[in-house]
Amino acid sequence: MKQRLGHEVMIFDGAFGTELEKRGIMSKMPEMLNITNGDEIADIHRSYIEAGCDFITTNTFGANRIKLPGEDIKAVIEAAIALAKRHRTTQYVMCDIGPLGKMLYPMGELSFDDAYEAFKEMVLIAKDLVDGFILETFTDLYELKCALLAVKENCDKPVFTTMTFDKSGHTLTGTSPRIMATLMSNMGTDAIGVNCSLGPRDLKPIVEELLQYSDKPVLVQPNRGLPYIHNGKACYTLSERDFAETMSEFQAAGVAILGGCCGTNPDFIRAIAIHKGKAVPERKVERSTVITSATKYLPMEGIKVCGERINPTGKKKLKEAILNEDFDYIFKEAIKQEEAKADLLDVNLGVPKTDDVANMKKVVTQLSEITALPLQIDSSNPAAIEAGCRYYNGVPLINSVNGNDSNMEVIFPIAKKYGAVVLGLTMDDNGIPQTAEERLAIAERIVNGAERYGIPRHRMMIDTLTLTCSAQQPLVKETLRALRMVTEKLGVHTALGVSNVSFGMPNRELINSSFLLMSLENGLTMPIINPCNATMMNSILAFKALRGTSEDLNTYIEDVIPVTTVAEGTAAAATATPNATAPAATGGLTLKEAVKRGLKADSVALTHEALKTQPPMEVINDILIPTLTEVGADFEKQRIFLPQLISASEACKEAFDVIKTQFSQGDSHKGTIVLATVKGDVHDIGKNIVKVIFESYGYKVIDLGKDTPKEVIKEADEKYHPDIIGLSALMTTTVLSMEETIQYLKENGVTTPIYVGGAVLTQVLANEIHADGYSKDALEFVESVEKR
Amino acid sequence: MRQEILRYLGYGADAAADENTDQLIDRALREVKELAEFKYVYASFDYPQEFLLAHPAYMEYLHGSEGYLLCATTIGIAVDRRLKRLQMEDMAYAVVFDATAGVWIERKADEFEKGLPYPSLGFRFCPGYQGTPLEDNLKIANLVKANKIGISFLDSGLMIPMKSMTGIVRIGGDSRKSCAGCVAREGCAYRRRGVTCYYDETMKDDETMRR
Repeated sequence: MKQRLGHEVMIFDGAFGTELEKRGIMSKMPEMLNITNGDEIADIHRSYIEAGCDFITTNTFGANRIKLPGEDIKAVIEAAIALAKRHRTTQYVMCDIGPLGKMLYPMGELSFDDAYEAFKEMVLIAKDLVDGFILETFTDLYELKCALLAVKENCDKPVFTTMTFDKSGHTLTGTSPRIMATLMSNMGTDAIGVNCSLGPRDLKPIVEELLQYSDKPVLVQPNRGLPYIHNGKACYTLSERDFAETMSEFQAAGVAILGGCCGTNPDFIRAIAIHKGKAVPERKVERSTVITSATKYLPMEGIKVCGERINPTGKKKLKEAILNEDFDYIFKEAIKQEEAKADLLDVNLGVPKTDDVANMKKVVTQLSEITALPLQIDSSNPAAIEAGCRYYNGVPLINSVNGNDSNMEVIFPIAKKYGAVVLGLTMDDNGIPQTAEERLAIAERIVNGAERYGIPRHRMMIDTLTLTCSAQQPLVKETLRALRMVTEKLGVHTALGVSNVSFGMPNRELINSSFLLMSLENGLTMPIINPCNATMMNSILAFKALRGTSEDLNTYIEDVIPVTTVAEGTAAAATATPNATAPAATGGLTLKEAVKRGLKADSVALTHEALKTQPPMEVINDILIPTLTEVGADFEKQRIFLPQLISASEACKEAFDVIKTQFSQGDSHKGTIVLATVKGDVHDIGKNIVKVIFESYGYKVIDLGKDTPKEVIKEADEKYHPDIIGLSALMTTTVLSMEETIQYLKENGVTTPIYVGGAVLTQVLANEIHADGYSKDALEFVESVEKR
Repeated sequence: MRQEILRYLGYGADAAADENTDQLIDRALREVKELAEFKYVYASFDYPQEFLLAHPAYMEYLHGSEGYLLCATTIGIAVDRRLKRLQMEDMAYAVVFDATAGVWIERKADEFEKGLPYPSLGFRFCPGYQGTPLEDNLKIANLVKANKIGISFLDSGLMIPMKSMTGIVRIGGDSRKSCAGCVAREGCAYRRRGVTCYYDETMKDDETMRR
């Protein structure tokens, strides 16, 4: 098959569901018909064989343990394959694998690993019986990646991947055809395509994009237009002729495999089979260095800023956060950098005595919901790199590989399997060479090494390594020369961790921004910097304005960040605050008013002010607590409403934080609260409101998040010895889960009082499920805990 | 939409928003509009499905109709993603955004239904109304192939994206929403404030005056 694929036009079969309906045997579980109605199934295959197809799709789209729990998956798949083979002559039998019908975590609750196992089960049953696999109708790139891994890690048969796109030009989860094309092609799919979704005419822009961005044979299986449904039956109107006409255009544009989806029948396949065996026209394919998230396509052209804030080297707070598994801190760093216009984010979680493999998995998985930016997976531990790549939803950038053969042997197979772009460091066993020529030589060795592992040059980048000017001043220019040589001689894009240059120097920012400009002038593509530093970001804008187009000039004028430098010569004083509240102009405002009105910056400034004349306890007891009481009373009396209550609480928390950091007496707080939204429930806005309110009252809140297994709550109880456990559930269905959780906790020796809350709960219901307390809203909750 | 958003946020019939909340609503309306990808699928039926026969509230709703639509609608996953992120950035705005998205899907679905080629359609009766089982969300979703517009279900029966609904819409006859059969009627926080949880066209809406 691989000899013919992409060279001669081949034909896939058409819709299955439509044919089942025609024969009056449509079922909610069509895969079970392989067992009960074998003759009809074989007959449908026969009708497509007679119509002239080269590929037969087995009736196994949903034959997985998630969609058919309790059924004999093996029997179903084996029967399906036998039926597909019954009338076949020369056709290839392709095992059909569709989505599992459950959303993957973190959007849904099905774990990547469980999904993988479900796909793997299908692959193991089918792999010796079929000619290949088709993974089709996927709408979530993450699930498709999972399925592709399950095929490729368990057999070496050809595998085709197709997704469903809608009129907006992307999948339901926001993936564009070029992102899909890049990830799937990098990972080594044997053909790539679009199926279902729309009629052929509406698919045109999508097909064009796949042809432009994938070097793999392209497969197109459109619907017979959009149906309307009456009495449970889908009705289609597009004619064979109109269908075939557009398909001919696709063929002429370079599509290698033609087929049909919902609504098509053997007549449609017959109409497109006229192209069978024709030579597939040549086409031009983009070949550039690209990394992606699930929704963002990032070509490494021009200047791309990699945010360095999620890397614990020299960052005490981040180190602590990683040690305490306080991932919220990391997520907030990600958001800050995205708002400061970073293009991608470095993720390095290497802290001694932590499980960096497990942490990498957790952070990479969850970051996909927090930020759209692509990630650089950064670790000296290959196992952490592999974990990062495996659970990442997109084409990652691996940082890094070096010139050692033993290192390349480990890193390149990971990059190949997960379709990553790799950043090579110009160093080897002998350390960092002094001259640019020697660094170029290592770079060349790395790029050639990659090609031997099947990773083309456009998926490589090179870091020529910044050295410290205070210690090795003569070598700074070698780094710059190496940048230029690598760019010109190897034609690959480059990266540099810029701020290393200024260690041990006064006014580091000046050195950093100067070195940044020199690097850019020498061809640097990806500076790894702190995007929240205004001077650095301004330098890039200035460089573009001086070097680039008139558009860059306008961008400079619009985006340049006003820099306020603090007196007394403090280094690194200027920070970018594009969206933050303006520095407090506190004229005439009291701390109490600032908190009540939810003015965070003012509350912070005024707390500092108050602490100059008053002891901290007085600020808390005479100002903050009475303010909270007033705010609470106003809320009760409906003089203020939820948004104002929350704003005031957040401002108050900021004030508390100032007092805490100024007068740190260990970990001082009023008490500890563990909060969780119970298993099965993903609506956590209510719980998050409770968190804000408790924090404003000076409590330490351990937030276990949403969809929390009962075991995790028990562990948290043992670890933190909280004063109260608060559980939240939104709907009647999840109140059951809440009841189970409470029962489990009590049976397992948890004596901490358990409070419950959420939209459908009442005192009566709370009693029924044996909760120790109930509150109708966040404020009542905190008040009842205060009274205890 | 403004009045409705305020109702979701706990405001009474005649309570006015402060300036800050007003600004938050402006921002939320802008952002939800930009992020929401409204999708709606439906199927028409002229005989009752089994699950409808199983609950008198459905049959009462359908009484005297000429048939009905089953529908599923969503404003997409991008809204969920933004809401999650907002909860880390600015909780006060997050609750306003959540309320706005909730109102948005209701209004968009109402508008969409107005444009359907049926002379008269009833209000959307969603599982959960009048004690009807939430599990019926899944039954309706399967019948209209809601997965095609990206709706999926958690084991607990919750829908992803979160701002998604399924419902039944009667064809013909007249029907208006009311609190009459509602299970939460006693002790309803909305009613206590003199408002309802649903949008009633006869209510005054100051949105056009404002914008």
